[in-house]
Amino acid sequence: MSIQVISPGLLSTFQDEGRHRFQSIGVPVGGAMNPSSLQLANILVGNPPSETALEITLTGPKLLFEEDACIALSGAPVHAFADDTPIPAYRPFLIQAGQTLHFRQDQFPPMSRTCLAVHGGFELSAIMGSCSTDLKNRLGGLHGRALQKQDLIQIRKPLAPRHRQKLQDFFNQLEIYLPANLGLQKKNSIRVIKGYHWDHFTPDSHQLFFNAPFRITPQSERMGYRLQGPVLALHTPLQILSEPTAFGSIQVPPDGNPIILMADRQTTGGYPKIANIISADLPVLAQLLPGEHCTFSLVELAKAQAIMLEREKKFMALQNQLAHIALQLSACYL
Amino acid sequence: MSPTPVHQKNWQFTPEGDACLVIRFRREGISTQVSQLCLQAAQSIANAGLPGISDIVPAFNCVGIHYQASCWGHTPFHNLCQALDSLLDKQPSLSNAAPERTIEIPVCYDPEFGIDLDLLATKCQCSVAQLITLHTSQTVRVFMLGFAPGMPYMGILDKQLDIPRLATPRLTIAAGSVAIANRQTVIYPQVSPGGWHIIGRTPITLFNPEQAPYSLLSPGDKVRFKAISKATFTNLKNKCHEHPGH
Repeated sequence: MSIQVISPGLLSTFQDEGRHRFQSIGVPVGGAMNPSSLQLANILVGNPPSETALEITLTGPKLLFEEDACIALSGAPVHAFADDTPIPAYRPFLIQAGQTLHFRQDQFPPMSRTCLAVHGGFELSAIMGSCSTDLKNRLGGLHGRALQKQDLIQIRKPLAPRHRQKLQDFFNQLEIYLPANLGLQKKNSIRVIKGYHWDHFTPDSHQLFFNAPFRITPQSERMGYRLQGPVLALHTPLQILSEPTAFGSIQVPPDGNPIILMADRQTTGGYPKIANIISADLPVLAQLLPGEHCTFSLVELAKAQAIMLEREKKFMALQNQLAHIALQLSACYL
Repeated sequence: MSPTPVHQKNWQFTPEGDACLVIRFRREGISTQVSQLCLQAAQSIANAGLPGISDIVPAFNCVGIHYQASCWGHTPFHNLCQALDSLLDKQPSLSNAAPERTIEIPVCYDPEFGIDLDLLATKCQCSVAQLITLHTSQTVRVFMLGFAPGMPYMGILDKQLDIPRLATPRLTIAAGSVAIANRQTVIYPQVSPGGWHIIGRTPITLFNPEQAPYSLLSPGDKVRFKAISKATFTNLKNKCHEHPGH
């Protein structure tokens, strides 16, 4: 036994970078809603960026660690503690055997999601090449569902208590400079490129799409965000055959209220698509709360890809700077 | 000045966000021919082993290509389109397409399962027996899979079965339900919501995440439905539970 789930939190699921290669047979990709946050939490604990982490939604779980482990939190600025010791965000932290990781729950955090990574990863078996939890199809993660009270989670690389002092000194001395462009900051303005069916929407709809705020309704979850704002209209009704969709596609069903397809989206869809969120802003969107508003602004595809390439370059540099974390931890295994 | 002949390609590339593009064939509607074009394109792209391609998703008249932009230089969309274009240019004609499999799927059309049979027979102006004959007497093509893991969209059914979807989708449909709408037929592999008319149920497993190739059907497969009794349904269902593989 490594971690006991004392309480599960609102919705805590294991996620990695998703279940790829099977969209052709209708299997959703899933994976972390905020891919930046997943990658960052992982490299902070010396993991490969794609390792499975626990995606925590709004209220966090209470987890009793039975062994020493190196963890990191990335995403919402939550107030997390190991017993009474505050856990700093975006840093590796040594949690000791017998300590309970918990979150101050007296108020919702100002962002939706946090990734909890643990050095060495959680002991889960991959289904179709991924450990991501697909809640709808009950695949992957822990029994294909969210965490429940009394679940037991194994961690692969618990640490030996005799190295505590050495590791704590090492973590305290670590200097970590996060690049500004990782998409970690809270924003309400989201950049898009035009969707395939853009020209089928009326000029009024074009104008409103970029000028009016859209509210993220409570019916927004890992599959999609349902927005409420001005109704978007087509020139004439369109009959569209089901076609491939992507993370961030914005579909407009006949009622005119857009739906942004998120991590657990279906692989294909038959509604017109007015725009697509750029990859660099998906992490921002994943952090917005139901009830909040967002606005859209237009960029060109080339620009969207350049922003992402630049981010990946910065991330690689950070990963290199933090490469010694894994080395240090590998000398401290139980 | 005489007009210069422009080589008009049979396809175009459109972005679906900055990490996916869609190859669209210039054909309207659903046909076996355009479906074959899509599958052939999907196959040759898969065979080419291009870097950074995570998913190739054939649909009715287009193919989705999910890609990692960082694998494609400073102008990823442009560069990938060029690579795909030259692959598609080199494609052999359709006559060389790989032979397609025919898979028989047993369906129990008992009214207990086929809850929309009566309504549908009225709408199609035929008897329930005629309707079942229409569904079992032709070989259909799997055009694509989508909506749910392992769920096939098949067609094209007889003109007489051209019925629009239900105005209000049902919230829960039993796993294995066989349904029709718009001259197409589907099978719901898992319990799910759905808006198609349900005419029967198959006892066999369409999707098994524990065992490759995971999905019984692939795009391009041919399917024939075979009417079975309720007793046979129960028998086969029990067998599927013992051996959930295909």
